[in-house]
Amino acid sequence: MNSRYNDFFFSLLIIAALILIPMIGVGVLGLKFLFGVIIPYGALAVFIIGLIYRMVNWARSPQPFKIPTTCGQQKSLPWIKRSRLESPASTFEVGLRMFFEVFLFRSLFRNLRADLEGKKLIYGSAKFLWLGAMLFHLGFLIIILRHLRFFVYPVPEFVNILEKVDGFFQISFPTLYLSDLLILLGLSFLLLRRLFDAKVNYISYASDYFPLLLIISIVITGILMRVIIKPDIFAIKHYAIKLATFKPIIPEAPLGVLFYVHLFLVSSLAMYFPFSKLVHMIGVFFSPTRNMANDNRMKRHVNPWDYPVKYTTYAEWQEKFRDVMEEAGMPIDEEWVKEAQKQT
Amino acid sequence: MYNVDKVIPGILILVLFLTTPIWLNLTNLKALPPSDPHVGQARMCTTCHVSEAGPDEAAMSERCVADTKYMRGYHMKLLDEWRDKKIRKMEVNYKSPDGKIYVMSLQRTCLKCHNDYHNFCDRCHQFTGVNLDCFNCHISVKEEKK
Amino acid sequence: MSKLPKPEDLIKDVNLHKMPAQPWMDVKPEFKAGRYLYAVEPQVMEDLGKPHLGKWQPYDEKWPLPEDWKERILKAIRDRMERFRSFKLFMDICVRCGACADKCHYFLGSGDPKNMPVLRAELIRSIIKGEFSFFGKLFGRLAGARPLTEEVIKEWYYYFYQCTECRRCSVFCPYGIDTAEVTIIMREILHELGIALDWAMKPVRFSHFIGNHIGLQPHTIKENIEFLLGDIAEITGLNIEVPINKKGAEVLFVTPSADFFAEPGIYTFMGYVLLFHHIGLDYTISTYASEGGNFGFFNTLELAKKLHGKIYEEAKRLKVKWIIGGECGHMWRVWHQYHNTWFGPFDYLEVPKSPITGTVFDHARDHKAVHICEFTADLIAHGKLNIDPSRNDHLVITFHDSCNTSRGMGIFEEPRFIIKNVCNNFVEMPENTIREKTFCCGSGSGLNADEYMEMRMRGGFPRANAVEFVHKNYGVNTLSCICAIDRAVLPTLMKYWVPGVEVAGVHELVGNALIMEGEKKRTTDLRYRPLKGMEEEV
Repeated sequence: MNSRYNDFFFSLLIIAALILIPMIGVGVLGLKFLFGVIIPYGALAVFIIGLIYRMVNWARSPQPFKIPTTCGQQKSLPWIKRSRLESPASTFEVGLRMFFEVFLFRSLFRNLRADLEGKKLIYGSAKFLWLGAMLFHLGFLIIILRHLRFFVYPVPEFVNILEKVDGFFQISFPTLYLSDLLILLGLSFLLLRRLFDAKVNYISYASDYFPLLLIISIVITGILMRVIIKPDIFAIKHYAIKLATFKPIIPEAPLGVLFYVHLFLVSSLAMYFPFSKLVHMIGVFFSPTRNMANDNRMKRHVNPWDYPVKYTTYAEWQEKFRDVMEEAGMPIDEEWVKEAQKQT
Repeated sequence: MYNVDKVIPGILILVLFLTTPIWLNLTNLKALPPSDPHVGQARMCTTCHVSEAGPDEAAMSERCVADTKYMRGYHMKLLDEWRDKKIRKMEVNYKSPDGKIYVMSLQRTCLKCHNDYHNFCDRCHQFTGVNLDCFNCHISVKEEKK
Repeated sequence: MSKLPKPEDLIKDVNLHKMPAQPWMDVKPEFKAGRYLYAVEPQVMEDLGKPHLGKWQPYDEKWPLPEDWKERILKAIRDRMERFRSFKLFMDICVRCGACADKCHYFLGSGDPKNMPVLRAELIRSIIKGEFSFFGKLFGRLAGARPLTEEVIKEWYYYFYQCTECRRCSVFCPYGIDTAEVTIIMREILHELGIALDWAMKPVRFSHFIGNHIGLQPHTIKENIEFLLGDIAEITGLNIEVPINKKGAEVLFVTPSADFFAEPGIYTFMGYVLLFHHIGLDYTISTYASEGGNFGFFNTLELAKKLHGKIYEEAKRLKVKWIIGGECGHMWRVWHQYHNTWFGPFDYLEVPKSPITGTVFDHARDHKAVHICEFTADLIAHGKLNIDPSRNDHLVITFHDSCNTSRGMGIFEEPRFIIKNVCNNFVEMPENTIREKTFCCGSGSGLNADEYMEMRMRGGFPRANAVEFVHKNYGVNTLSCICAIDRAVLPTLMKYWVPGVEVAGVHELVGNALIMEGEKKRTTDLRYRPLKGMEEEV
């Protein structure tokens, strides 16, 4: 086996184990309450508390300096066209920049690829990474919002609309959602890139393959339940609402092992999330190079742990060079030396 | 902790977002339809169900084209199959797995028994938020009801 | 010093799409001549009261690390995580998407995967996981974790001094992870053991004790300036004076000290002097605060703060109203993004207002320091300068955006506006190599030592390549810039990759074009090169 793919196969192994656990747990041992109630609640708790912990942990360190990465013209002279988005000078403009960053991956959209042709460097547009990431993240968001239909009754109108739009093309029957297909497309691209792009492969760990594979497994089990192995949705919704209203039940009607696999994979993702690189979802909001205004010379940023640093004062400096200065006919400033002495 | 003015609202927004189902249900949760769909069905579907006491599985599977468990999950697939066979292949009859012959017709076969749209179809479909478009074309029990 | 390979051989073996067979954690850095920098002389650290390792060099098999080196490093890492949210966050949220991989000039010029910004940061990220995280320890390499060893320290020294803190990667990172920030902090952490560069530390000592990085004493500065004024007199026929340490002047002008003594910075300095004389500005330069640049910034933030305290004491002493800063890249990163935090509030200064045009520089209302290009652009926009752009007709000019002023300040239009007004032949380099996507000169952040020449030429390769393009296609012969390090290193880079291209500060071009009152007919530019059409007369 080529060592380049070791980390990938290891992750695959973990995924297989994660699928087997509920199959044995529910399918063989019948631990429905454990897999249907205790683990999902536990996972949600770990997810929320974990994320809050991460946020508090980041917030406990101050950002000592205002260091936005300026990707556009600063605000200076009034007649110079400035870039509000790339060099924001106010809170509102920072908000805009963050919106584009978080929801549209603006920085990733800039992506280029560099190639060496003989002694010449050439650059090309490389928007596929942006597209793959966009399909994946947007698809994920839509899928999560769509899942509200299982947890809320009556189903909110926006979920119905989302579902109609998402199923607009009526691919196959029951309709395959566009978001399901696109997220798979996005995820596959990101995975293939990790496997076959030499640079990305070289920097990838098992902890990079694992979340991709985990989410792919979640999507596939979900699609399977929608299209091929259909569980009793009525019973699932009953169960889901009871979970959401903290009156957990396990319905007598069987929900199917596939459902428990899906649920367990989602729970695993939720528990893994706060302890992994996936916290970038929250972390991006904290990024000082993006969430700070380029207004350094307009507004002072205070560093809470700033401390005085001893430097060579004028008095010390003048003392050192008094002779050469006098010789060169340069003025000596006794007044300031006295004043400075008084101050200290 | 620093930037409390931004981090605390951030945490609140996150928690609110993640607990959407909880608080949405908290404010306007409707009464759930009974968890066992057979309750109530007994009353309305008298062709299959002889008593108020509960479903008669045996009687039901004798009459319906397939057993309840299958129908609950896959009725849309069956209806889809019927439509294709009838409209595109001009077939008329459907032979069920147990060898009985049925006329492939929503109105003349299915709706004969399942004649209460509100209590039979809509109860589940509305609850789970699944859109059905059968009655966009078919004259439905829905209209009769109105 | 090793012999530098010929340009056509240098990047022959660079393949950006082929990675080593070994995982990166197994590849150890080789300290080959030309690719690493010498360690600091112990006396320098002694003088500054800093720890040091005594006499050693990076190529030594065993580094003389103190017994408690590991605890000290781990403590330093924890301390930086507590003090810098940036560092803590950047260690947590990288997803290794690889968007940054081919954005680093050192990677493009060397093909060394550890020069991909993501791997550069992994050099420390892996240690944080391996030493502090339970899961990191449990899964080891699978989670990208490894233990801290002496080899790691060597690797850090090698690669965190193979980053010029240019921030190009940070432009492309979807989370804005800034490798410059990581490098700054990693250099600080190495400093805790006394590991530092000789070339980056000696200027710190000079700057601290004498006032500028080359150690020019006050009278020498005066002499140098007088020498340049002599040249100005010869070229323009004007006898101009430069006010030095003048109390009560309106403006304190601080510029990188290289402008006083080193080519081609001196021509830029002549440009400033001509400009200030042209408009009759009441200014002064200082021999005490005689360094705008900041070599401390290439070592630790504390040293950076230490060196620039002088500027504001001098502003107070001379009772100036506001400050103009000369053309310099990292200097302006420090001025723009750090000064106000370190040295503010500046209530003893006034909101900068151009005495010539009346423009209030509102964007500098709190820090009270204005970039010379902002100042000059305003003058030109108000028609206050008498300019003859044809005096630059012997030049075909392109403009190199310096990393720091681009991505750490956002000054793009001002210098372009000036250039377009003082020259007739201006050509932009290809769009992916300018503005926020500009490439580093390859020698920034204290790496422009001679012993490092091979890496400098590799790192500068992407920039040189873009210059070569406009040189061949449009006959560009002048690479203008607003950075002292650029002026110091780009000539070498050009000589190596694109012979025939000279390097000039923007204000040198201004100086060429200014029609001074009472000047004689100019036949040469500030470098004594004949003006177009004047070849006969020289």
